[in-house]
Amino acid sequence: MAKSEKELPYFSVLQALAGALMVLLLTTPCLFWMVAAYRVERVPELVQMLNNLGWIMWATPIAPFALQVFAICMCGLQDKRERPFMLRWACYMGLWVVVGTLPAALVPFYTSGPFAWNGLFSFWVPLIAPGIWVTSIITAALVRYITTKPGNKVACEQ
Amino acid sequence: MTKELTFDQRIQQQESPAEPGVWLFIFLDMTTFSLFFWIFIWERSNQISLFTQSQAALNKNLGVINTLLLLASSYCMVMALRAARKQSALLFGRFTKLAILCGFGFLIIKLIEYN
Repeated sequence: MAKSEKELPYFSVLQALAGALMVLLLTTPCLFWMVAAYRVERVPELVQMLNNLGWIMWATPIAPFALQVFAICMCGLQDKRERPFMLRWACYMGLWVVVGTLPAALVPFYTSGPFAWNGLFSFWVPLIAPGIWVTSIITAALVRYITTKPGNKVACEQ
Repeated sequence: MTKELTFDQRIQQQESPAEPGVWLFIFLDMTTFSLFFWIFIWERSNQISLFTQSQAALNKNLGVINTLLLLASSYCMVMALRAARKQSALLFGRFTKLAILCGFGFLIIKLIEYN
């Protein structure tokens, strides 16, 4: 990514920082769930509170993730080399992932319905959309590698 | 060996009227929105009386203004694109600003509605 940027590699730096922040924000809720499961004989309300704490912290700070995907995709779109580091359709798809994951930030305002912590638009779409995106990028990269690698040409023409 | 093409030449060589990626984006966006509408219909079928009550509480005039604002901003963006194709920086700037203004107008009306 940094090689495709001409002057300051700000998109690359932005995606690295946002990615690091996202790892922290995704692992901390898991610790809360572990605390909730550590002493199950506790008062149910406390277990519920820890569970809520974990889910709200898991879903609401989606902004760093969206920012990371946005930075990768914008960097891919401005990459004008013959072989860009990312395929252009994957960049546009990534921008859709950004839009699709943002409703996760609505989790603290609903306890049930499609925008709650287990809702369709705040959990399933933000979970499945990046999943489809990453899977298709990796598949496309593999296909591109196999079909364009010198020496593999004979195998592909068959 | 083929001659190396510049970025713009490579884009122009594509057969589709726009980049395929844009079509993919629009398709996925439509999928998400249809999902929104299906969920709305499903939730409504569960609690019809609540939904009709809430519908009566909405302000129709603000809704009409919002629809017009969205249509106007799309129109401005199309005009801006046309100006850009004709290399007219002045018109492009004006139409883009108008589109952005319409967008902010939409947000302001939404804020009024929610308050």
